[in-house]
Amino acid sequence: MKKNKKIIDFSKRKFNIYFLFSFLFLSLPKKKIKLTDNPIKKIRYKNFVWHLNEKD
Amino acid sequence: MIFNNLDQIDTSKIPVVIVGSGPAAITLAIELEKNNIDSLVIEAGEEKYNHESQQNYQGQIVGDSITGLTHNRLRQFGGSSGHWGGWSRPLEEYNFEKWNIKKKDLDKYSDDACDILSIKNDFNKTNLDEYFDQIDFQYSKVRFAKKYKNIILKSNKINLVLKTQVSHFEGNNKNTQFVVCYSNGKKYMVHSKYFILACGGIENSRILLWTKEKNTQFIDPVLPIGKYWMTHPWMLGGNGVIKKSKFKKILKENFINYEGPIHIATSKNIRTEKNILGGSFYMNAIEDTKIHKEIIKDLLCIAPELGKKIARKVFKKDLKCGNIFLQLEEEPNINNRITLDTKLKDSLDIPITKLFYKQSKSTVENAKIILEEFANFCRKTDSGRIAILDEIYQLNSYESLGVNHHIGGTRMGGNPKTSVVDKNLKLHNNKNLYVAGSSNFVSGGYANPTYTIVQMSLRLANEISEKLI
Repeated sequence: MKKNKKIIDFSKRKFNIYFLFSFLFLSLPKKKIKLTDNPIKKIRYKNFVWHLNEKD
Repeated sequence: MIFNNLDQIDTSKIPVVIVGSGPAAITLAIELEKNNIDSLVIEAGEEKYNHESQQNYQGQIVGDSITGLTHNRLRQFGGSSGHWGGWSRPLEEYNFEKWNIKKKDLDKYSDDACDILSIKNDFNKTNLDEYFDQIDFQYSKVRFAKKYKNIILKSNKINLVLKTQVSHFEGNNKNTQFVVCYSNGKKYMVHSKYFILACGGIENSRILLWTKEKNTQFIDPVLPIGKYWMTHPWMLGGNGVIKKSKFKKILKENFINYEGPIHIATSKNIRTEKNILGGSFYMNAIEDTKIHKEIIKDLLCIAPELGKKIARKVFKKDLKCGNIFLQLEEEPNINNRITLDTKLKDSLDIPITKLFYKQSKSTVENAKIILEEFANFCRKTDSGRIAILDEIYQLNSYESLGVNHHIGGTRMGGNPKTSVVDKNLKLHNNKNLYVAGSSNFVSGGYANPTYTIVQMSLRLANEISEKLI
């Protein structure tokens, strides 16, 4: 019996597509707010208390 | 029709008497007319401002200093809509937690309320983080006297009488029989089926207190008339710099991009987690002002590197730099109350208002928490830097920039010992006397009250119409 070379291994392809999609969806950000973990530095100046980052 | 004298009107067949001609009263009359119901609208002032008439609004203030009672309201056709700012926004759902109606009970009147105020029914809110939302206001330019004068002149249903002052109501056996008023130097006793007191957050209480004093059998003595009076504390909270582009980046397509300052409101979450009342605030960011330069100079002194970065962006529209103003919700306090002065009387011999008011310690505590949390948000997201006014930071006090919203005094509720009107705005233990306006509010929320006043007046007009049709 002649082997058909065009036969595609669907199970393997499905696996790849699922893998690709799950990777894509997982990587989508829901709501990404970039937060810095800089410690706070409070400085009283004139009549105000400034809330700054330590590295400011 | 508009009259200058009660003699000109046959009041015998008018089923509804409305006292006052401000947003609440005019909304009621217009809506009743739609249902083919006649009304008599009684206004103490004239068509336009009159200084002599305005002096009847004088009152004593005991306690902390607030805007004088002749300055923050108008005794004229259209009431205080003659000088209001027009800021309009509905209350939040959580503001109704202690009311015995829900937000949805008023939402059905939103389209009509927007028609009356000539604004779009388009109020946006977008979540900034767990504690804050970006919000917007609709700005109404409606002066009720200007918008509705011709409509009332042509109306066969609305009878507006000017220069007629209501003294009190009389009745017996829980039934209001007539309203006593003075017009053109004569005393009148006007009979009707239904009476609605709609003359503002001070006068509603004053007239009810005077009615109680004139006729003790008629008004339930347990009602806390005049009590739980509130305002929206309005203050300078601090200053700072904000990068608009950072807010846009955080909110993406949800960023509310409209003319004017960025408005921020507290979310339900911060109220619950920090056990505070809510508030809204905005930065008055006008470019090239003295305050703008002062803030940059301050930043250059305390944080030179950051200051230099900010200074480089000073002429870019992205950088907002200015004072931060807060409008906060105030806790109801039974001791903040409207009473009648025992000595001073107005031109008709009616006691003037004596208002007892003390700022709440919790207001300044709430202001500090809100500003600190917002400062943290700005710092952590690098969307700006905030400075809190030292007086607020130290929890000393706040300087009131003006008391323009009069809330409470005839609060709504189910218990006559702690409220004055029921959920239909009818005086407890009375058959036919109603109260309209922000005096009925149980809590103030952070939004300006007029929009909610109009919604509640539409609902009341519907209630009265159902009884009459």
